[in-house]
This record gives sequence, C-alpha cells and structure tokens, in this order.
Amino acid sequence: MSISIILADDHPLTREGMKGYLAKEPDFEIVGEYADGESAWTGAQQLKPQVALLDIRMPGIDGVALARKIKEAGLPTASLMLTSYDAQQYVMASLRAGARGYVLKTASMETLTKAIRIVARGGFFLDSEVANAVEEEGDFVPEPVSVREREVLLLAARGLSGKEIATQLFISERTVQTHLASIYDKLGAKNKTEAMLLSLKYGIVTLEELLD
Amino acid sequence: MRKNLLIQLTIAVFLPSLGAFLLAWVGFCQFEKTMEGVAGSYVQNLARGAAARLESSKWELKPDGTWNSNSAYSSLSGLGDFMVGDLAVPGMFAVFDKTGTLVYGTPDVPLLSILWDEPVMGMTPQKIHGPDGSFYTIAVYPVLRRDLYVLAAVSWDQLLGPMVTLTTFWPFIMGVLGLVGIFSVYIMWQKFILPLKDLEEEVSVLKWGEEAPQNTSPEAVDELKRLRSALVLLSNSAIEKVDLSRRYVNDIVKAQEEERSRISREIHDGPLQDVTALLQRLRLLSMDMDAGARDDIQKRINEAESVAMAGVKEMRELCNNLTPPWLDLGVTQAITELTERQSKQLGVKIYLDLDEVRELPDEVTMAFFRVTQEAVNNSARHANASSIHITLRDTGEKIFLQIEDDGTGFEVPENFAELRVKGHRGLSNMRERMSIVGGTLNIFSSETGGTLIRCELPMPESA
Repeated sequence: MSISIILADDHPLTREGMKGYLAKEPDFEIVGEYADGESAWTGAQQLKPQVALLDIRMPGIDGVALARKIKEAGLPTASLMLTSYDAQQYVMASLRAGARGYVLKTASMETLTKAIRIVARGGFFLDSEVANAVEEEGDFVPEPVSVREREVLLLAARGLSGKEIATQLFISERTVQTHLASIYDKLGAKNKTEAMLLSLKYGIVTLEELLD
Repeated sequence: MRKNLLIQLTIAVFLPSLGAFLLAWVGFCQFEKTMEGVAGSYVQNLARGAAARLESSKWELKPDGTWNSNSAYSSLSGLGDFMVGDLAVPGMFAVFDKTGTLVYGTPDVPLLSILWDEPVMGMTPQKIHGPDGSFYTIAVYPVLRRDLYVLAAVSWDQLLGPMVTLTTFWPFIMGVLGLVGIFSVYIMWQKFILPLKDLEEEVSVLKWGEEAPQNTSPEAVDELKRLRSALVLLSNSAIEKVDLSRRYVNDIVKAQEEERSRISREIHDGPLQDVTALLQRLRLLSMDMDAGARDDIQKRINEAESVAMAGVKEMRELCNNLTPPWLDLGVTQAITELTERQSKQLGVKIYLDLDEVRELPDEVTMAFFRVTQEAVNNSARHANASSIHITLRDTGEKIFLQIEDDGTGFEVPENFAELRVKGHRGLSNMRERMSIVGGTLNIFSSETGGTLIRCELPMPESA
C-alpha cells in the first residue's frame, strides 16, 4: 500500500531535491506540491494525504500554523515538519501544534523515508540532530525513569515552573529540581526541552500525555 | 546659620511685630487700669469728703425734710455754697436719702440722677459710660448718722483730659503697626517664601529630561510665577531633547535589528536553501551511481557532501546569531532556546524559571532577548560564573526579568554614563535597550561577588 504525501516548501530547489529522495521509494506517492501555506492548506483539505511534509517558514500560513489547522480540522493527515530550523523550541512548538515529527532538510534520505513511514503509521519521529544527545542512534537505552520523575517531567512539559510543580505534588521545590536533574542524567539531556524531546523519542511519555 | 536664613529673616521680622502688638495690648490694659485707679481714688475721696462734712453736727434734717443749719449757715442753699465753695477740683456729687430721693446735688444733678439709676452700686468706685458718651467714675459713700448717701462722680475728660486720648491712641497705633507687620509677614510667607520653598523642593528632586515642574502656583508673586514658567519651559525642552535622542537611538537600534533580521532571512531563504539543495543533489548523485562506480569518485562526492553540510551548519549558526528565527515563538521560548544554546556554548549552568509570557510586541521580545544574551555572555565570559539563574515573570501589569550569577562581580558606578566610559559598554547597551521600549534595568553587584540584573517593563494587559 502506497503512502500519499503532499510537500509544502517555498524553495523550488529543495523541493526538487525532496522529490528526488521520495521518488526513490516506490511506495511513496507525491499527490501534491505547494510553494505557500494557503495552497498547501487547500490541497490538504481536498486530497487528505496520509503525510504532509511542511516547511516551517512559508509565505502565507507558516508550517506550524498549518499543522495546527490540519489537526483541528481532523484530517487523517500526519504533519511532518521539514525545515532548516534546528531550534528545539520549534520542535516543541510544532509538536504542540499537532505535528507528528520533525526532520531537518539536511537529513539523509534514510532518515527522511524512515520518518515518513513512522508518522504515516501513527508514530512519532524526531531527527536526532535536533536532540543532540542521541548521537548513539538506537543503541542507547536510557535508565528507567521513576513514576515520580515522570510526573515531574510531564508537569514541567506543560510549562509549569518549579514552584508550581512543587505545590501541585506537595513536595519541595528542591525535590523537584532533584527529580529533573535525575531525569536529565538518565536521558542524557542538557535541559528541560531536550529532556522532553528525548523522553518522547524513547517512548517514556507519549506525545498525547506531553501535550495534554 | 546660613542654611535657614530665609526662615530666620522671616522670624526676625515677625517676632518684633508680634512683640509690638502684644506690648500695645499690655500697655493699653495697664494705662486703663492706672487711670481707673486714679479716677477711683479721686472720686472716693470726693464722696468721703462730702460725707464727712455731712457727719458733722452742723447740719440737721428737719422733720419737713429740709435741712437746718445750727450755725452761721442759715439756708439750705448754704449747703451748696459750703460744698461747692470747697470744691475747687473737678467733680460733682449728690446726696440721696435711703429711699433714693435726691436731697441735694451740685448743678450737674440731673446727670447724677441718671447715674444713680444704674443698677449696681457698691462701695467700690465704678467706671460707667455716661449718657453723653464720655466715661465717668462714680463712688458712693454712706453718711452713717443720718441715713444718707453721697454719690460722687467725675468725668474722665475733666479729670484726666488729654491723657485719655493719648493712652487710647498710642497703644492703638502700636497695635495697628504690629498687626500690619504680622499681616505683611503672613502675606510674604504665603506668596513668596512657601512658593519659593515648593519650587526649590520640586527642582531638587526633578529628574532632568524626564519631568517638568508643575506650572501652577496661583499663590506666588509674579516674579516667582515667571521663574517657574521659565523652569517649566527649560525642563520641557530637556524632555523633548531626551525624547528625541531616545527616538533616535530607538531608530538606530530598530534599523540595526531590521537589517540583521533581513540578512538572516535572506541567508536562510537563499544560500542556505541552495546549499541544502546541493547537498540533496550530491546524495542523490551518490545513490544513482552504480554500485560498481569508482571508489575515488564516491569518495569525492562524500567529501563534497560534508563540505555542503558544513556550509549549511555555518549558515544556520550565522542566521541564529544575527536574528534567531525562533524569536517569533515568543519571549519565553526565545529565552529558553537562547540559554540552552549559550549553556552548551559557554559551558555554564543556566537555571530557568520562566513564566509563559503573553504575546509581546517584537521589539519588546527582542529587548528581553538581547538583554538576556548580553547578560549571560557577560556572566560566563567576564565574571567566570558557573551558574546563572534566570527568572521571567508576567504579572499582568509588568514584565519582569532577572538574571543572577555567582561570578566575580564588580563595583557598579553611581552614574550609569560611567559604565560606558569604564568599558562596560554591554551593560550600558542593555540598559538602553530596556529604556527604549519603556522599561528599566538595574544592576546590583559588588566586588565580593555575584551580579544581579533586574529589568522591569510596565505593560498593563488591557493596553
């Protein structure tokens, strides 16, 4: 069964390059390509593809907003961000908007095709380049995270401050910091955002839980 | 001594005036008392003298109510002669029996009758306002043996003459002079000294270039009003000047940021995309080559790929340094991303406690972003801090950013202009950045260690 894909990127050369990658996979079918957000939105509504490859910066509606519209409209489409931005905050913003994956435009063909297959199946994919700690690729198995630590991480992911988490869980702020530090250590993360991204990647938390 | 000279001068004028007034009052009262005493004892003497004569047995009251002289004096009128004859001094008297019937009186008797009607009559002399408008002192003396009373009276005008006028007018004039003095001091205080002190107080705490004194002092004298107007004019022009230079700096900063952002965007949209596309082509080419292709060509292509990849990374970094694209995610995300990168780059621990701040105007986000960037750079590079705490708060009224490090610290100069001179240009720029978006930045540090930078930006949610 082939995977239907639309591609939205305002840059013709990189669009061509992507198409070149995707054409290598016989079961990928590019059903539409767009140079701006508006037409991509129209295309997504009409074609209802399985996967939408979205550049973040586009004229008209940007990729993050487009992913949100697709999710809100309940389309059967998994948004996969395909961008030059390596900022983790963009990853979080995209995921909050409803994107199922985040891949850099410089990603190898293998990474891209893997990402498309995973999100088409309903999975979640994150380019290892935006979460630097995971250079090990797959071999790295994080130490199990405790229930309490997981709770703290989820609350932190929802944007609560250390103090607020402490109040909600009836523990001290210092304990919250200890839990977070322990989580960072186990995941090999350097900060909160990375910890969230990595815990998603390793399946410690699900995207739904994180964005709840 | 010189410090309160104005007040001392005022007191120096006020006190003598008050003194003159009080003295006039006391003088008036004393004179009045003295004159009352003089008139009283005089009139008492008069009454007593008359009564003493009546006591002597020379005179008798006959049953028909007439007087009879036992001696040389044979007629009733003789009494008058005898009395008046001795009376070489001013005054008058009348003799009444105990029923109040007039028995005898000097020629002014009708006047005395009226005085006799006065309800209060005692042994002590009394001052009375006579029907003719002048003052009288009267006294009553009993003639015990005959059940008679002698009423004596003297007019002040007659007895004391011009003294009365003098002792009334002199304190009066003094009093008026005193009052005029006090009143003048009061007016001077109200219209000159108080407004002058107000103005001085206002000017001494005036933030030059930010505030102007009030232009109203309705109480003040014209000269002060004009002085105040001139000051208002001056400070307004200073405000304008500061405002102008702030707008100028604002424009420069804005133009600079716009230019940076434009270059960043152009690199991102142009060369970065091109090199990305090149990278993709190289990969496709490498894939398209037959498995049996020459190893050295494959190697060259791989090399070209890594060069292209390096180019992409460099350009991304360049864009991020010029104007990070993630600024449009909002100030909280922007600071998070920035500090995550800085933490890695500078090897310093950064602890964040950031509120999810509402959407802010671009230049405000940029201001907070640049301040954080500069502050963290300073802490890591110049102060050798090992950890930095950043707090961001949105109270709905204010946005509040605080950056605290555990570095070496430095002595903060009193005057901020000195920062620039002393080479802390970054700090001075940070402050400028906050001030052009309407915020304040304060630095707390000391050579004993640690630096705290606190930014506050008033921004009511409703606005």
